[in-house]
Amino acid sequence: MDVLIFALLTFLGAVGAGVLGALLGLGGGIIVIPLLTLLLGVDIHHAIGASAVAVIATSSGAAASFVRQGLTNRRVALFLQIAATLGAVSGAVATGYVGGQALYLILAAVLTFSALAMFRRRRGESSSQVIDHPWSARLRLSGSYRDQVEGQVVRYGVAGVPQAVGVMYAAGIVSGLLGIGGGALQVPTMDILMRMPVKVSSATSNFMIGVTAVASAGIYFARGDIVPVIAGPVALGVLLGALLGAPLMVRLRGTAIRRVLILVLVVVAAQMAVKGLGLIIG
Amino acid sequence: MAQRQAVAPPTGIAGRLGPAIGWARRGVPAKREALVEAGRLARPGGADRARPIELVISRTLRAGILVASALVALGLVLLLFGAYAGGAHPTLASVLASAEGGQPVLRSPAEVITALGRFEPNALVDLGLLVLIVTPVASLLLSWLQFWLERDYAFVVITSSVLVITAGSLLWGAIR
Repeated sequence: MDVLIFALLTFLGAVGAGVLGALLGLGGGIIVIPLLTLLLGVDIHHAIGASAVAVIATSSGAAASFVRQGLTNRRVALFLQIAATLGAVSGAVATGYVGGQALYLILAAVLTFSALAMFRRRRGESSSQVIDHPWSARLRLSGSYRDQVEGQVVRYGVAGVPQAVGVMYAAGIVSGLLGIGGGALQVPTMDILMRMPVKVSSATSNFMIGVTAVASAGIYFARGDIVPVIAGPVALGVLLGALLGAPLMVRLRGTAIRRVLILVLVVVAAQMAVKGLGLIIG
Repeated sequence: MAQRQAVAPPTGIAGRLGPAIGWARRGVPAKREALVEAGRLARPGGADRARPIELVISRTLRAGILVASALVALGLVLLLFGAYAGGAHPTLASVLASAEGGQPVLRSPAEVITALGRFEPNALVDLGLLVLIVTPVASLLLSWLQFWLERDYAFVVITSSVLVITAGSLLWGAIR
């Protein structure tokens, strides 16, 4: 394949990853890695390096809109970030002591459970009915944003803070052990446990994954896994996609975002299950 | 400094009596009202304005993205132009094997700067990618500054911890 065609295909795929990433707050890895390895024959290490760049590009591209619009709850993001990053450090330290295949299967089960839990309350709920957890009141985690579809200011409380901290730590361990971003677990945690509006959960997760990916992207760069001709088109495409996806997310109804999110969670769960079973069989 | 209105504590005697009145009435709606008064329940409706700090963060992110994508785009164009100037049909593998494609790959900011001095297009792409990678750190630092100015010391500690853990895992991983 001509390198120009490779660069164009990578760029176009990355635009799609950027749109979906800005919409759901999951990061672009679930699209970028299969696109590069399975379709374009890129070495897995170079694909993972490009994926870390893609996550940062999605996060910054989307946050540039979401922070200004008040969708990103930076207080929740930073508070949860401690648990998530400490978990990731624990996970990275524990690599080599814990087997991978069982973890993939556990992750698949957790993601399936999250998708089911989100499906059960797929219509969402009035966020004004959520009673603030005492920790949230103390740390002033609750917030408000103007919903452009409903045309009104939505104020929301934040519930289940200690449980969310626990889950974030566990999710951090899993992402540290398996080297995958925690975004797929962050959004369901904020949705199901903390009962935040889905747009706020997505925007807040988007902010978090960017910060998490800084350390991993720096490490991949130092290892020589970030290659200009691969990561460059990925970065440009994802940035364009995130710039297109951010206004789209703002204009969509929360229920529509939930539906796409549930679908993607099921797909990621299937990916993880295949990896877990494949490793056991192989 | 700007405070979140959502959890504004109830003021005056009405605020202090709110829960008591709610309890005395024993009605569910009254109890909800009391919870809203006490700031435990999100209040529907209210003020809506972009705070200055959020505009600053948003503009900083946008600036980082613009600089990064300009550098990456220019570097990529030069890199591909260089690859096609040879005459043959370059593939991903041939570009990866060539100096333009980043072989040997640059692994540190110092190496990128040195390669920039030799006008290597891959160093231009790498410089853009490095700008992109540090962009989220800028929003962390601005958040830290905001909490410091608002004397919100709990969040100064929280944001500092995030910065320290990020820097620590970056150094630990890069050295390994």
